[in-house]
Amino acid sequence: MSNWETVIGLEIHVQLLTKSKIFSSSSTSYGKDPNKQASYVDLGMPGTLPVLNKSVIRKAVEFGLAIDAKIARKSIFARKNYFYPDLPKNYQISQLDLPIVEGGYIEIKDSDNKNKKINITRAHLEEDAGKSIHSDENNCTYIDLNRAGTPLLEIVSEPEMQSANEAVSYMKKIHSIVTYLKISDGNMQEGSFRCDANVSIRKVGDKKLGTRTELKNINSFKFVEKAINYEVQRQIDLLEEGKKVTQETRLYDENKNITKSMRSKEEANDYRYFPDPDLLPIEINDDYILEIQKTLPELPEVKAQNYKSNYDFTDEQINIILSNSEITNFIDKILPISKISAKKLINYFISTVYIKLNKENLNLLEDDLKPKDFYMLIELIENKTIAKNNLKVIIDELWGNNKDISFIIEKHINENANDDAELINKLIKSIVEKNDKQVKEYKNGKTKIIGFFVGQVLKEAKGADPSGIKEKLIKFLDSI
Amino acid sequence: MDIYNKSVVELSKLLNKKKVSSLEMTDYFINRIKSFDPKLNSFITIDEDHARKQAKIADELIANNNNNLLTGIPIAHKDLFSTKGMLTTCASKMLENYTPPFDATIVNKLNEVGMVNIGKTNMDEFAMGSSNESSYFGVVKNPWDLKKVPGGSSGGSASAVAARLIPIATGSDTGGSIRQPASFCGLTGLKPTYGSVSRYGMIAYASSLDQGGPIATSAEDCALLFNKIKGYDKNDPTSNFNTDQDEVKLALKKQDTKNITIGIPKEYFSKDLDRNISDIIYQSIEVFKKLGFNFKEISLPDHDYTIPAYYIIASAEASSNLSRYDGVKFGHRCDKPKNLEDLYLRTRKEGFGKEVKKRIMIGAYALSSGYYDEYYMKALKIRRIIRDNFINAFKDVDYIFAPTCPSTAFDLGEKSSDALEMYLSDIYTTPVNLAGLPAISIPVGFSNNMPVGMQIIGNYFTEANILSIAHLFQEETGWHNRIPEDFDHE
Amino acid sequence: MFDKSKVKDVAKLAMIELDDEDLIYFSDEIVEFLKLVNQTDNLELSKIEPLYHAPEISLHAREDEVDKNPKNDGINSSPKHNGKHFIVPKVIE
Repeated sequence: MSNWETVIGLEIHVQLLTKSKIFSSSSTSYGKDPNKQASYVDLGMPGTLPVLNKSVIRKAVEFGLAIDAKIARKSIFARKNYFYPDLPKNYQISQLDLPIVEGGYIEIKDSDNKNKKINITRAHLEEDAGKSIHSDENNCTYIDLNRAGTPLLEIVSEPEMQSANEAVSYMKKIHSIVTYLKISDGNMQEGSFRCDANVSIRKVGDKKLGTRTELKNINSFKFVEKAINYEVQRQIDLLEEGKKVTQETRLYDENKNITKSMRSKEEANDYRYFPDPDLLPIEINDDYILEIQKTLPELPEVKAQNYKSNYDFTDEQINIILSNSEITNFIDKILPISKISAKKLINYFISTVYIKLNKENLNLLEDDLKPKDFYMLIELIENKTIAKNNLKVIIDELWGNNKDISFIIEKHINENANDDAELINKLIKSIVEKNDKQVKEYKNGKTKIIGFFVGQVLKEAKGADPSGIKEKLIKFLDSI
Repeated sequence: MDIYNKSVVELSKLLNKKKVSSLEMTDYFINRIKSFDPKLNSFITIDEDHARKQAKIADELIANNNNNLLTGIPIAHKDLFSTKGMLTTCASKMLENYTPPFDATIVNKLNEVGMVNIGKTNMDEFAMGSSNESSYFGVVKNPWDLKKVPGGSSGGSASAVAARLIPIATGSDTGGSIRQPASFCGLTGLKPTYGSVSRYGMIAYASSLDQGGPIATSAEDCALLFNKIKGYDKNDPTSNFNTDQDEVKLALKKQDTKNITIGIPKEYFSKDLDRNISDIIYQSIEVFKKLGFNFKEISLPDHDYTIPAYYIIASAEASSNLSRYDGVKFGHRCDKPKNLEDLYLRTRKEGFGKEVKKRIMIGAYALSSGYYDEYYMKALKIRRIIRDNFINAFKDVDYIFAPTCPSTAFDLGEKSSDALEMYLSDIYTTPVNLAGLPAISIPVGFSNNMPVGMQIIGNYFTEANILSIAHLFQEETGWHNRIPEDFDHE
Repeated sequence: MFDKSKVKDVAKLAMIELDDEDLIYFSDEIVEFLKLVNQTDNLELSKIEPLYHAPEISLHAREDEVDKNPKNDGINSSPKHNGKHFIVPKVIE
């Protein structure tokens, strides 16, 4: 049992899902040619000025409400002054005093799988910097300012996590909230969701925090876990050798699975924060907050609880339903009208629509497939009007088309009727062959015995149409 | 027919009556600039081709009767207004070769009404100065006495207009940079309410104080220009949505003056004010009294704290605004930088002049850890006090008269080695900037053969009124029509 | 105490290289200036709120719309670029 305990705080930078940047109307799309998405304002050209994008306020408030935080009625942008080539104005517009969101919390499962509350210190708005590409061969650094000015929400947790697991849990929770609410696309490969971890250790029982190091820009859940684990052990080893932990920034090397010290750019930099004189305070009133509260969807954890109490879903199924709000909305529209078990319904959904969404990289939008149409199809499968293996084809035909569903179903019912007809004919033949005695009885005029044959056929072909079978049997028996 | 001594209103009439074309007028002023400006050094850039192109377009508009009062009139812009395709240097080595790819909103607006942009005027480097002695492109002279300064930072605009090399010019005012040169050069200069004229494209010195405005020979001309440049601009986040969209009309009539009370701040007329200046101002007050205005003594205390507060705030904002000049994206870049830090350190050492460096450092210091409260915060609190004092005064009076400067234009070199004295000479103009109020400086007489200016200060968004008051005075008097002898000929 | 070493610190923050002559010049100038500022020392300001803008107005934010006519030619103003990137001496991290 270790006599060391770990203290972890996370700073997560979330790129907000807006069309344009926070202070300019350049597009925020990813992957464009270098400096082709960098306007005069983004470049900080002399005389240019920042104009705030309304949408970022909304998204910050949505996040604040989702974590039960305090929304500042007045919040201020401040300039963080330092020199760096990917920072065009050599100051970053951020927030210091009076951030837009303060406090709040989320719940994770701790190492004993019990609920643990992690408090959030604050979340504030700021602009992203550009990108630097270092070239050894040309002994220079190339600067791309496309990303400069992209809106970020920086979410700072209290240092309340005590293991890499908890940190990952927290990170996943935040990720699910921001993606679910469409505050961000949470794409870690593209840098929309970046995590810095502040890690320190201390002897169990110690009240004072140890010296911490900052692990920067880790872009996957897996690497966060590995980086923290490595770093914790590194610090323990140092302290056990009687050495000291240096307060510094470290980068995680995913190839070697180590953290290494960044050559410190500067000693504790004096950022000379002051309220940006080009930007006036953001003023938010209660009405605005109420309006956003109303449109905010119920959060995943709350819904998961509800689903568990009311339906027979498995956990896996619930995760899929809650994986994005479009799927949740879709399923929520069907559940109240469904006469089949929820579990069964979701299985149908997963094996068809869900697979399609993932394979073809689609969104599930209103016009793509109507929930009630989907449910109708399930009903028709359940009562054998159409065959289960036609479901995918029908959905493909329906997708995004405004075709009348009944027209499409018609087409497939006939097919199935034929399929079933084949099956029924075969069954009739084999059952008649097996039941000589009853055939003789029928031939001797006991017409009621047809019921016996129908029963036998239905046993094998559940859900088939009884009257159709009766007719066929009569025809067949009369013909032999 | 003499063109040079005509106001914009008069020139506009000539154009409208087709007595002269815009092209002819443009050539006239270009030639005048070429002849006389070597004595003054008021221009940094002249673009004849561009001007003639604009003049031809203006002439077409006039021919088709599609013109307005400013169409075809030549203008010069202070060299901190971005002009697309035309050098914009801020009178600094840092931007010596900088050609903006866009126009400032002010420039765009005036281009659209058909004004002819002849070129860019000299100024104090990055607008930091009160004498136009800090320009990388050399000092500017006062046309009234070539051994004296024209004032600053809009010294080039003032000098050019005073010598009638151009009928009107734009300037900018952060701590008095329109009003003080106007005063030193016998001109009329308007600093509008903060937020009423867009700062987009205007190279920033102090964001919460900078405002662009006209420097002209009359209030009437100032009003013409102000009408076209004012208004909400979505590209300027400090642009005021409440800026009056109506045309400013000089509607004040003599019969209405009796309803107006003007305040005279007793603290402004203390022993620190040159006796000659206060005499001249009192004389002009007599003229206003005859026109029917009422006068009352008011108090604007805490006067002495304005200068430190102004310079701390302006320098703090400037220190951050000028961080972008680093040799990476635009402007000067030092030769063969050894590493990134060397690039920054040497580019900025080479690119900036002394006064700019000084203010950047003062600003960085005032914002630095441990000093923020003592300097920056304190200055902002003083700002509130100064502003509140004005607002209180406006409960009692409608407008306020004040001297523009404690003296007339001083000699070149006289104050350049005494920065503090230079700073203190902004004592009457800076309070207005801190409070964000509108103010106009008009010529009210001469002392030792040099022009004396007086300010008319109004409450927020009262430009129409202060211009009207100035206009009424100018209809009664002729100070604004006087032209420096050396330039009063073709 | 604003002296030469303080000037060095501040010049570092401001990223301006100063030689020895500059150090003396600026420390003298700034000390003089600060004397002027010290005249405000006796002011009682504890109950006064700072004023950041005058007139005081509220923020005007814009709709989240992308510019239909974006201008991305700013890079051409750079003293050192290759058409695609801005170029600076290699940054060591």
